[in-house]
Amino acid sequence: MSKPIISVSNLNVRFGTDQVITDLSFDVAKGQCFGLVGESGSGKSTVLRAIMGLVKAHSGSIEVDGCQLDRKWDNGFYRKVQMVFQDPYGSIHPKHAIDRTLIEPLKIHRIKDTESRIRKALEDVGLDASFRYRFPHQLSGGQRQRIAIARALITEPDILVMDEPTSALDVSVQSEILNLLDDLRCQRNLTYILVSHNLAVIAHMCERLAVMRKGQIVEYLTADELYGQTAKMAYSQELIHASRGPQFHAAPCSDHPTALSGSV
Amino acid sequence: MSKRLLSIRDLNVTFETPKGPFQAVKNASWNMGVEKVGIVGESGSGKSISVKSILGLMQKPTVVQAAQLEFDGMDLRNLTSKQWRSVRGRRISMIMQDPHYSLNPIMTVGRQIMESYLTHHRVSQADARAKTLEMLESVRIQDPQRVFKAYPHEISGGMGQRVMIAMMLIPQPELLIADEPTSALDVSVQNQILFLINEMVTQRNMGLIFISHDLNLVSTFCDRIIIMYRGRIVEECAASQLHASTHPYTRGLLSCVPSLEQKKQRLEVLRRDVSWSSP
Repeated sequence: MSKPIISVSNLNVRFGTDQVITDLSFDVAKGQCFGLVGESGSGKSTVLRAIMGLVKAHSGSIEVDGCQLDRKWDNGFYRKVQMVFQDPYGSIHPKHAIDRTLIEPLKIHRIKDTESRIRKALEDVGLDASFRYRFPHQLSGGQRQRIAIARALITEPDILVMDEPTSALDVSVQSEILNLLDDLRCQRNLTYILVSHNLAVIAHMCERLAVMRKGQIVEYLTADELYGQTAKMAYSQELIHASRGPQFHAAPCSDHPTALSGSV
Repeated sequence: MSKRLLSIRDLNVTFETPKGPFQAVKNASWNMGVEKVGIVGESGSGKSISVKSILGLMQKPTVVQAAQLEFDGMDLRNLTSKQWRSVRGRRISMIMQDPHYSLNPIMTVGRQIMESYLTHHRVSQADARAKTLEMLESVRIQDPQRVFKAYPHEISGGMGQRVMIAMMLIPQPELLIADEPTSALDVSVQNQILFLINEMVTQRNMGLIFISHDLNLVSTFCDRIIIMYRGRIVEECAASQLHASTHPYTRGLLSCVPSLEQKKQRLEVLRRDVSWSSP
């Protein structure tokens, strides 16, 4: 692997006395898509937030494109690295027209050619220019997520960090958004970090992934290992099995063959 | 089919909007007995609205019309609120999507389940309490005594959904409606909840209407599947026949999901056709 563009090593995050992330390390090469999977509460979103500087790391180092995170990222970082959030209903200002939502990052980074950038950003995500003057409530969930992606892309970043970008969407809209993300990555040689609880989505999008549990990485896998079901750790195997859906016809309903061990 | 539970013919639901009436459900018809029926469709296809109208939960100015709307021989179209009270919860009950929204946040879980039982049965508090604990145990809650006294914010999503199931099943209804009961949960917990619903419904010999947007999930779970698009039922088939379906919308919904079985170079995208929603 060439020199990684993102490198996280021995990351520890604590909330008060709770240790939420323990000794977590991974590298992502340029142009790669790296996935983080795990159940709720496994700390996947916290890792993303730590990379973005939204939560403070207790110890460990985070290095992005040759720069080390030191308490706070400077503005230049946020031009290179952008984030897409889970819920397109919550992440876009309801009282701002789309135009204003898209201008905001340009203002922050003092980018001049707003007109052409906005037009291009909308075009890139497959929306026509008339969407500029609409409000979020006039858009569907899929269209809003496209706006959220357009907002992230408008500063022309190298890295996109995405926290469950499709989990609030219909499966039919999910496929559109995943294809869009795939295309954008090819066109611009973007690097992705993708968090999801949906293994199939991760397997489709990513070359490499890490399975997380209770703030630790259980296992690193490649997409081929996921398809070939050659995961070594019991927990990853269980998670893969559970993701294939309940097997009602194979097993009687009295026992729980696909339930993960551990109480709920 | 042992007994006809529900007969619906030409159900129409119309919303009043500033731009004129909008028809959310168009001429939907289906019959069901004691069986598991899945309703699948994208958001806005009218699946939740259809079942809410069955329960009489759509309020004015929304207009619900049907040529026939019968539950176990009883006409549901013109029930008084008193008559509704003996149907809702008692004979037809509904599990909602997110337990943390639908449970009362300032009432303990146990009291809420007890309330559901006491509303429909004339028994003492102590009996209701014993029954509640028994019910909590049957939905596989490890420590019923503790959960009985817990508030909704103190329990996890999976546990909350178990509590919802307990609350909905304790009056022993004949028909259970589950509106996306697992979409707010992790995959592993999702499977446990599905097994639980399946087991409960089978044991108690109840009918089930299961609403979901995940066609693959529904096909493993239900006997029959109804597929809706823009307020219209576009296809109805046995779950076992789903793979043989030829309707482009059904095929689209099936193939646009990324799979763990094999790598797809590119996901298929649903090409929507307006003609699907016309009769």
